[in-house]
Amino acid sequence: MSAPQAPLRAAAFVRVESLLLPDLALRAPWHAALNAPGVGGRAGRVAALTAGLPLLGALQRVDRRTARRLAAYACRGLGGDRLAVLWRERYADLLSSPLRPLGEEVVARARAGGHRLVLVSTAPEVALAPLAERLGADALLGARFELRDGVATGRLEEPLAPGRVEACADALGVSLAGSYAYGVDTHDLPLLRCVGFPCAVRPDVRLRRAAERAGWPMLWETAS
Amino acid sequence: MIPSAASAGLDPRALLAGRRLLVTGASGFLGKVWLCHLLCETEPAEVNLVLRPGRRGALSRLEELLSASPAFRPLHERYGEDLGRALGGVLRPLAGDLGAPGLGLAPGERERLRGVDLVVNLAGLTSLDPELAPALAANTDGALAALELAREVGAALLHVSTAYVAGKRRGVVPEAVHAGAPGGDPFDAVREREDLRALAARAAREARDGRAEALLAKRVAEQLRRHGRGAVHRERFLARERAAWEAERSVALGRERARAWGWPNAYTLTKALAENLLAARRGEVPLCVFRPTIVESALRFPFPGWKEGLQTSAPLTWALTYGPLRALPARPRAVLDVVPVDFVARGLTLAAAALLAGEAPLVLHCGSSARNPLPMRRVVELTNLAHRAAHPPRGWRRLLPEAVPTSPARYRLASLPLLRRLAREAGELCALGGEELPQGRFGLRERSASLARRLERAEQRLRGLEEAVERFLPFVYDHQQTFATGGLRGLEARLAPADREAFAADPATLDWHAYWTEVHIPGLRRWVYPRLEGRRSAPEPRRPVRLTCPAEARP
Repeated sequence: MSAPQAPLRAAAFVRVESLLLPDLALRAPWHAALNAPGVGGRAGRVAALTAGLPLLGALQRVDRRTARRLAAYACRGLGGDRLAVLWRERYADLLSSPLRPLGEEVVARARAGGHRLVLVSTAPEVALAPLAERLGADALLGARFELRDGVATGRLEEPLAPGRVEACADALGVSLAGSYAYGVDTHDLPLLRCVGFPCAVRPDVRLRRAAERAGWPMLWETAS
Repeated sequence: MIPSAASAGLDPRALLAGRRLLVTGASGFLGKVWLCHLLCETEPAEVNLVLRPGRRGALSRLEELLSASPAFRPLHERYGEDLGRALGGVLRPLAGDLGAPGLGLAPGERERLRGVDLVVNLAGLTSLDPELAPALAANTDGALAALELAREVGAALLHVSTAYVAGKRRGVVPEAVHAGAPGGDPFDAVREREDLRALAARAAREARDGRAEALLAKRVAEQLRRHGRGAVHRERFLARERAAWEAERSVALGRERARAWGWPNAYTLTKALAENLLAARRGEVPLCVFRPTIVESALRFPFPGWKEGLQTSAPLTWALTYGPLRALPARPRAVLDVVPVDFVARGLTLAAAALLAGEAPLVLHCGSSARNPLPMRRVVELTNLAHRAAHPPRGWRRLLPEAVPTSPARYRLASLPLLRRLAREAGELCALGGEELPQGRFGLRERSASLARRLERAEQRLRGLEEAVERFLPFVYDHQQTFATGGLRGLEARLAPADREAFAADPATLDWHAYWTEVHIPGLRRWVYPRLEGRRSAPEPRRPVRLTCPAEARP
């Protein structure tokens, strides 16, 4: 007779941007463009981002995911080493400052419930590793720049690409059906759909519509 | 079943224990690190070190090395004040000269060396653009003298060469003595050695012919006038100028000759000559030619970042960050084959053990291009990032562009050569102002002359940098090679798991980002850049060592 299997634990998948920290989806590529090596490379990237700023600003309200992917295209041609350093630089100040109260409350609740904590971010994992350490997170699902010969192609490998959430849950020994997820934009839809307790936090327009259709709870930060 | 030699274990500690070694070139960067590694990890009975005695003798020279060089820090940490006693019975300094016949050893000393197991020839002139005569003496004649000594005393020979003897060969460079010149022409090493001697003599002769005399006389007259010296100093100035002219001519002739065959410089040509002659004349002497690529600062041993000497990538990385070089002529995909000195030291100990076991291949490469290639684009990028980490850009400095690789044509149009031309033109203009402007109350004439002198010095510095870039061009732009390293990997595979930490050095384990930005460049900043800037690096605490040597070695 086999030994009874220990019940699977639950996890809280918490989106970093907008919930714990401000969203730097546009500011980080801007930092990368300003710090590209060489005069030509720098000027070209800054000009392209400046020209696209109105479009990116509008998109940020409606569909943050597309805005992020477009902005990341400014990093095309930069080396993977430089991108890691620039993203770390951009996040360094942010990571040492206090977290957003709503996010802190979500993390505290997860901890109180004995849940495993998984941070989900559209920023590269290397930039957020210090935050994961600070919060004692059990795992970090971050974005990765697609690199060819060590150089960014301008495309992002999504942290919620098919199979990554399931693999993470397997590695941590948690049940997705009993887990919680806190998403902020359409990027998080695959995650919200596969957990038992999804929640939209300060959602963009498209996620709000999806949450309303699915009947997911929504959280809004109120000015204190 | 008897295991085959290829699959049997290799135990460097057992193979080197109680052995007698003779080492040349132990005072160099690699030599010191390897000697320290050898003494830390194995227990040879006797290590004879051939050293130039200088004025105070070989023993004093060795004691000075042990006392002052940071390379021996692990030995100091292990033995403390007993270091002299612990090593006194093992290390034997011998006064010698690599360029002299028989390594310049006294006849009685050669007799005493009978029964030595292994001669390790680390000595060489590693300058990329050396004068022909000393390069030939150190790199070729010295290697042959080491072979003859090994034959005489009945020892094996481990000769340290360079992977760049491959010259401009492309693709995968095999671990074999290269037949023929890199350009494909038939190559007679014996004849080439004589031809190089004749070229060196030609440089000396030309420095004394009528045309050179006339040029030098003009130069000396100008110098005497500038320094305000009388004719009584003429001969001294003339001798100095003649020596400089001869050296310049010798370097130029050597470079021209090497490039005609397909080697980048006279250093690699003279090393290739040595390899060819050693392979032809080895006879019964067990021989292994060990070819490291570009030996850079230590990853861990003797301590992270230890580096000495200005011959490798230091001038380039300095110019890219602290200097004015913002566009380096380099092919972005060209692989710069660098390897930390401790990896080379381990490989060398492994080769020595294999040679003593009678199982060493004739040629072993020690480099990174086959297992973990580092393209030039990444070298430039990591150099930028290491500088950025040490000096985060603030204020207007954020606007300064960082270095990028570029084509030689663009480099010549817009980088150092342009700056040098501008400095020269501006300097000439100021010099003219210094002579033509009227003496006025604003001191314009003096200021103009002073500015001209500063611009002249700047032009000289830029010329020096430009020459360093040109010397590196074959390695960072022209050559597209991968050095096969199957030999060393094969030897490492035979190590017991417990020995891997001390003797295995697989470059595939290197994290280039961490090594370059956290170890290598900070190491250069500590140990090498101050010398490039004409300063002294921060002093290392001196730990005096007095070796308790056998009586006959004392002067």
